[in-house]
Amino acid sequence: MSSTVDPQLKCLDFGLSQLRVSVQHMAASELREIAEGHLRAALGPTAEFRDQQFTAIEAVVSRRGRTLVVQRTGWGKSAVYFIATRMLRDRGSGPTLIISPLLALMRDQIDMASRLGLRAQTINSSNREAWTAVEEDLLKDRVDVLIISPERLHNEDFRVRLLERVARATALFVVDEAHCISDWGHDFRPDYRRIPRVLEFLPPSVPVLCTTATANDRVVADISQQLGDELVLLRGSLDRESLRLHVHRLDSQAARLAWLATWLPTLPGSGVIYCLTIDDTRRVAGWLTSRGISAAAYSGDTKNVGRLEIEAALRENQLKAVVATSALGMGYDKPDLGFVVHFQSPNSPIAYYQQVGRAGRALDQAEAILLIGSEDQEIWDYFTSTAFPPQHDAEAAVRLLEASDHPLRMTEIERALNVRPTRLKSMLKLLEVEGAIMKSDSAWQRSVRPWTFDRDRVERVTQQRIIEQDQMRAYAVTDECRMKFLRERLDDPAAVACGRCDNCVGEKFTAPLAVELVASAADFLRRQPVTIEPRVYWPAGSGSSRISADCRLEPGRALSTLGDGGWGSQVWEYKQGGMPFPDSLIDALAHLVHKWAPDPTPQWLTYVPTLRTDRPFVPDLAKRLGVRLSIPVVGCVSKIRHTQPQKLMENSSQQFSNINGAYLVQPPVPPGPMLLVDDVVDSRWTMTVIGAALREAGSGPVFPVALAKAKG
Amino acid sequence: MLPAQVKPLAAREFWPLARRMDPAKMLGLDVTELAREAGLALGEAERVLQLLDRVTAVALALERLEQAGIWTLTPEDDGYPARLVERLGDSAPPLLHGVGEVRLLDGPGLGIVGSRDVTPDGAAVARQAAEQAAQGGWSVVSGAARGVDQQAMSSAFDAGGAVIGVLAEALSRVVRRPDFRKAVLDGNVVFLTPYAPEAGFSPANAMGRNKVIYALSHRVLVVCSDKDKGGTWAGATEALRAGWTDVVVWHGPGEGPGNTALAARGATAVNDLTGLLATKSLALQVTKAHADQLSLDV
Repeated sequence: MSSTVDPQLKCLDFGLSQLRVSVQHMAASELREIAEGHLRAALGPTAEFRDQQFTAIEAVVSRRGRTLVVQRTGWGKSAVYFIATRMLRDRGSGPTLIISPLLALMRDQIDMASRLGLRAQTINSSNREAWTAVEEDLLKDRVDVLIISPERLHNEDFRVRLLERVARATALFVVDEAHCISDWGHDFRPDYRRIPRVLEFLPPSVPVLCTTATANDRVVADISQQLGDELVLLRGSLDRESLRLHVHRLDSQAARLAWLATWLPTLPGSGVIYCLTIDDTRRVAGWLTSRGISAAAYSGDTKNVGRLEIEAALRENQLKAVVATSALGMGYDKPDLGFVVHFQSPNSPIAYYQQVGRAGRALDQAEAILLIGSEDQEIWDYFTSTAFPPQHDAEAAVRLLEASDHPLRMTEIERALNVRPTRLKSMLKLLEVEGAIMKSDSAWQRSVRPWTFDRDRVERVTQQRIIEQDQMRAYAVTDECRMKFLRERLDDPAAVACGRCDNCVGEKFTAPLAVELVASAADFLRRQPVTIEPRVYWPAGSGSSRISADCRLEPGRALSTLGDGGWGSQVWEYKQGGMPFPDSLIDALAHLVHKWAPDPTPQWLTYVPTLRTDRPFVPDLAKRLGVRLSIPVVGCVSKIRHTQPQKLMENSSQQFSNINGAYLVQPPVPPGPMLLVDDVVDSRWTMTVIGAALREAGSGPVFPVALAKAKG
Repeated sequence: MLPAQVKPLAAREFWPLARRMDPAKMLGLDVTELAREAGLALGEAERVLQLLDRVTAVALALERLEQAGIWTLTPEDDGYPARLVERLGDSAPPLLHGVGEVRLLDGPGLGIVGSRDVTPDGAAVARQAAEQAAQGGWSVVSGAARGVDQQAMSSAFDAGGAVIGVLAEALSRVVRRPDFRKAVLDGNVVFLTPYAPEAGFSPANAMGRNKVIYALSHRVLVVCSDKDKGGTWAGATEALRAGWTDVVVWHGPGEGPGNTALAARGATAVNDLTGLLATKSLALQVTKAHADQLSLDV
């Protein structure tokens, strides 16, 4: 943001000094009558405005200022902006632009829009096939409400080709989930960060409506500071009268799975189970399904088509539960959501409030149960540590691009820097939002904006996260009313004891869990196959890029995930402790191979060698496994130079370089299908390289097998 | 800057209108009200309203440019060089886009102009003049074109000086060049244009930007010019006619066919660059503020 230039002054192809609003003069009562007429057209002849809905409409239509509405889910913000749009359009004003992460309009929104005679369209990643038609409509001023995602708003091509060609001024600018603008909010999103800058260039005559259900005083102050001090705040009660809050601590995942199987069928209607990770959503959904409870997993990994289907199925009560990460949240609204269960604790009470706040909008009673596990803190730590790129990585990336005389593709950047691909992607995104770098086709280059790493901000936000975690822990152990606790975190001045939660009226769902059920769940977790996926591409820049099918590994299996609290932790202990692996682990591995029954059946096996003669544990493991599987061990692979531990290498190129040329296959090599054994598999490059060499030397298909797969 | 279904106001349309009526008060009026209060014909008022209606598109464009590091200045903004308004009056560009250190626009500037086809002798003159400017703490103002402009620019960089590049085209392309990018990030250069950042080249734009070079400079050295044709000739003759600034023309190896004619029209001929930055012997038109900066008594 340049400080030498007041952005309010630039508004057209000629300069404008102070801008003043020209107010359409209309008596307030006349305005109300018109608005009520539209409300009834939209929602039925007996509809009445809820608390402050009309105030919001008036703020937009008459005062034409900037307004922040902090109201709970279900208050009726759609009605506000649809009615305001109708009134503005009737005056000949331009269309309404809504920035929202929503993927699709909810049915009741579509109905409302159509009853008001408004043409509402969305443009986001889920409806690409419709874009051309919508864009044409927009340019011909045939769209009354356009809803786009923040990513779309900032897409350069989209801006230049479409948004900047729209001849009509936006009559109303809506920022949905506005708390995402604030660092102090629980859900800060980089793409939201540019929105205040756009608003800075808009003259004050364009009304702006920001809506959110979760903004405490600090967030409100931050948003006001970014959007201008004239921002008017409309805040309502955040009470959820139908919600009954409960907390249970169940350290092990098996116990929590057993709890779900026991209590879910007794909970009213359909609901959501929140997990912290994508893997957990799959595991939990798989468990529930195996117990005859209809459930589906939902996360950022789910394809858009699938996401819409699952959202619809939940809405129609065709599923008992959707097991989701926080990807299910923004904008999704199901009035009769009967329960929200948290399989793991979110890291902030405000995030928790947002997630449980979806339940029971149109019900008398809805249950919100928080199950706290022992792995929560570890997951929180992981999220905190990955929230921002390390300073040296960010600076290295900017330096790299600054020094380059042509734009660099991501694979080239990956090769030069030691940063994991997923983290690299989010780091580049952050640098892009900060204006340090820009995209040029599919490559990156340094911009001409001066940039320094904002260490203060990172520290500030990280500190804030830690405070929030403390608050979440406090929520879990508090004796006082839980709803009051949450409302106080949100600075709700009307927070009082709810008389419904487990602290107010006593615990529920506490009957001891059936031992067999817990054992069953533990067994289920153990049986979750941990697959070793074959790599398909060599790293960028090393010969032809696809690994040919006759050199590739077959899909393999690991017994566990390293450090999983079960076998995976055992593997870790033994490996760290420098001891031979116990019979129990090797039995389990042999049992896994039997059940897996790879086809064609392996006839022999070999192992990944080490140069460390004091640690013969993998050859020993291989030998003992061979005995149990009744197949011979052939030690035909040797290691000819030292390597670094792969876990120190951050990306494929680095990992590959580390082991390339370190292993040698010595003929003769038996021709049949075989198992390639290691204790722990991490990047899979070692297996890939050895597997390819074995194939080249004449072996049959190579199935990788390991005691544990490293996480992440 | 935006694909114009409606033609934006040119400078000479804008300034008189802005004097008649504060543009800020135009928002929210309808056609007849605007026509009456601003003294416009209905058709013109309609056009102005359509331009006003593009506020959102313009806001988005300005933010996008700012994101890339391109700032936008209007005469209302602090950084807009006062010299342009003082010297160009109603021809002053209503809008400047640029990158780099805006403060450089306040300092003393030596314009160095000449044709794209420059002889080695002419190049040497351009380079020496630029070096002197850098050593004397003056920015070099040039059009960043091939030939004299780029010789002067690179010489200024080499000597650790500052450059003000006035572009007729493609600001957005220029900022993608690694060498210019580095100079911008180091704070030694300002690139600016009175045209859209993505504008393509046109002779009219080239002429238009020449007047900005003259108006921004305290003095302009014409290294080599054609006679009766070419951008350098057109710019110099216009500047002499309008009296925007001191025009000095080189007389010596490397001069162009039009140099003598320019001297005849009032440019000061020099065959030696030593006094180039001297202030007493040449007529300067500066405001008191600039005079203070140059430690002159005026």
